[in-house]
Amino acid sequence: MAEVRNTLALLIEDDPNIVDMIRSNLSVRGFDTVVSADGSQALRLLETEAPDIVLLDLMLPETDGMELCREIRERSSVAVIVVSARGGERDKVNALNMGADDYMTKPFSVEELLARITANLRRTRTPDGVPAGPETIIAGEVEIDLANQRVTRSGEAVHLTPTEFALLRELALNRGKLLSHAHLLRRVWGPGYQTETEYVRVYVRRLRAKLEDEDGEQLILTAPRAGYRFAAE
Amino acid sequence: MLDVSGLTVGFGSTTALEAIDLTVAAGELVALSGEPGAGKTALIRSVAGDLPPASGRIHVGGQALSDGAQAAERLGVAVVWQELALCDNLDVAGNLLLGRETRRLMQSAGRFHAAAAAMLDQVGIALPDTGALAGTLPGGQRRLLALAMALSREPRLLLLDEPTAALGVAETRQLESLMRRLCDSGVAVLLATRDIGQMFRVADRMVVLRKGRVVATLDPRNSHPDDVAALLAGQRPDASARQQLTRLHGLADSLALADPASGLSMIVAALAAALGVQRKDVQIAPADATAAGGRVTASGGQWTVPVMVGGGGNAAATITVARESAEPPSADEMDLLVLYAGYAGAAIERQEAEAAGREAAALRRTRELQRQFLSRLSHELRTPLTAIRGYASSLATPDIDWDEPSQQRFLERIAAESARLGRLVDDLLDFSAIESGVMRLQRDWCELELVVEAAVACLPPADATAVSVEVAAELPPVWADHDRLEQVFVNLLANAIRHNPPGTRVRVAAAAGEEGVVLIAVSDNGSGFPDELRATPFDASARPRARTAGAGVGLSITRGIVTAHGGTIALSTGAGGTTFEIELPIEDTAASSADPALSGADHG
Repeated sequence: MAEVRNTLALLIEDDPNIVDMIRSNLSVRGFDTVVSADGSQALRLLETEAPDIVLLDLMLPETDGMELCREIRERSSVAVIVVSARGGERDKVNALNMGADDYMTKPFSVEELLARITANLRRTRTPDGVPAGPETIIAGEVEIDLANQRVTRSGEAVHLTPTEFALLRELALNRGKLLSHAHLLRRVWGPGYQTETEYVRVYVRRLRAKLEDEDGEQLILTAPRAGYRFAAE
Repeated sequence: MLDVSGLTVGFGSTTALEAIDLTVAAGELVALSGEPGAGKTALIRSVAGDLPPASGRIHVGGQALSDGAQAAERLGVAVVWQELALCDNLDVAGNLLLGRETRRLMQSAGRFHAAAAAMLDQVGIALPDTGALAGTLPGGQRRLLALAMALSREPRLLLLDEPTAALGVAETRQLESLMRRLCDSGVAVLLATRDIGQMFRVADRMVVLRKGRVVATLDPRNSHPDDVAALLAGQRPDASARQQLTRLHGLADSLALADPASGLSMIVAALAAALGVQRKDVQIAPADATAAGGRVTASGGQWTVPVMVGGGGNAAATITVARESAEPPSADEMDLLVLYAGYAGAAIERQEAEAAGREAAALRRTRELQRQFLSRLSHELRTPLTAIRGYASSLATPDIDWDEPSQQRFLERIAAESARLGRLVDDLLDFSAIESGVMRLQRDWCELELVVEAAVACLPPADATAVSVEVAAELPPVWADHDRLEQVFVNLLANAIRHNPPGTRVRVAAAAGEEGVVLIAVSDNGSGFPDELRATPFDASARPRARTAGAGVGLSITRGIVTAHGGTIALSTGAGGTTFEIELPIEDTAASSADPALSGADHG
């Protein structure tokens, strides 16, 4: 019997009040929390504690938050919610490019925090049971094993984060159909994300980088201003 | 090896060569050049014993050449004529061995060709097929065959009459390298050629013939092809023009490498040299309006040329040349002035582009600092706001019943963070008031000791014990805003405690300075002011994100307040710890004569 543990959140934040506020709200809902205020300790905790979700404040003393985000993504597929004082589009896209799953601007309410944590956990956790539909989808050199959440390209394993996989699954299961940004956001990120169009853009770009050749055939086709379509058989 | 002196040769009534002196040493290649009819072939023929001299003498290897080609051959002279003396109906081997056929060779074709191949091998000439008829060989191979025939006699002096005329580039190069090889092996070579480039490639000396006379003997290392061309055409080589050209090329090269700032002075120096005047006599200066659109002008011993930049019709600068005489520039000098003005225009353009690039970089740097400052400010303001909103929304969540201690803690923190936010907002308002020069002071006569004591009282009690205050007895009161001065000391004391390890001692010392001035030093024995901030200690936008709370505007405000009082504040660079030295006028005369609330903010 596997050890049952509470969901563990790694909180990378240097303000004691924000730490207390988030920790109070998480522990009262059955989460455990580990906290770090600096980058190298955070990376150690990532390894030793294997958290289910990371809340990362971009503006830390003596630590480049973006770089830390990239390093976390290099080491783990854990859901990363970036917390930032800057709400600009460019900052958001930068964070997503560095591998963040979600981006939250300060200040935020507890409801928003909990909703984002729930959505990210849902996406990154392996769904229980075998989902309906085919077990594998083959498109050109890419083979998507839906049951085991594995992707290969020309026989070689491709590493996808849970969010990347969830997006690919949604696209591939609706092969040839045009899926709107809003549809993808609702299905992949969850209710409440419909307006975060840049999330889809960044993640489609990440998928293309991992699955397509620069000059080869396109797997994911863009319908400008409408959405995306997975190449038909 | 060859020594020709006073050689005169005539055909009938015409004189082909007149009083020719020429020597070729062993291992030397002398190129003989001249227009057709200049006497190249006549000289070759004379040396080959084919044309008897009217007067003068020819010595080969120290022996006088008597008449006849065979006499020359005996002295070791071999010739490759321009019109090749080949038997087209014989094969390569037949030509090579012509006149040397022995019975033994003739009896076996194999032996015959082997002997020919051996000969070719010995002279270092590769001809693929000794059985090919000479008449069917391509031009280059025909030359090689003729040369091989000449070399097979192991000559001491080889005469070549335009050997590469009508050959392709590759074949020409092959023959040229063969010539050099022969020289290196000690053969003296006299090469008649019209290819000036070839002379510069292979010759040790160049002799220019014109109308049967030697007009020049040149060393290719110190000569220019243009000189040879001029001599061939019967002109004096114009060394000054070439020097100008050489100078210009040198200038162009050094300008390309030089720092744009030094370009103009290099151009001016080169122009002075080109005109043959002193460096100081050539000046370049920004143009005044009168120089617009003009050309070279000369008046009263001064030449002026406008320097044009870009496509516009206005001069950016003028070059003036001071002259001893009042003569206007010659056409050549005019050309030089215009040419160098063109260089100067390009140099000015380069300078301007460089300066624009630097400005743009500085602007980018400023923008980046501003962006970082705003980013940090946003963080500082949103962090307490996040705690406040988070705690408040926690308390409002319907699904959780927080216990009494949690509720109490949340409320306390909301209150504390609200206060922190309030202080930040105050700081920012002060900062922007100082930045825009509208800080208002409520002045009164203030006892400095009381001001400092009030500041210490604002610190947390544990921090206050680390501060010692020494105010000189009978220090006069200063005409100042009590609350603002208190803010200065609170900032400096709080910084000294916050940015240093626990146990750091802070000392405030105040004493009378020069007449009408009070000196105050706030010093600590802590870890010292960060090196990276020393250059601009009061500049808010140069602050990195610090571990401690605050917008990073504290020192900017501090300086702003001191400056508004007509005083100065400086970070002193003593060893160990940090010391801020404040100089405050007892009565700010500039401000006190006017409205007491006047701002005197003067910030950089």
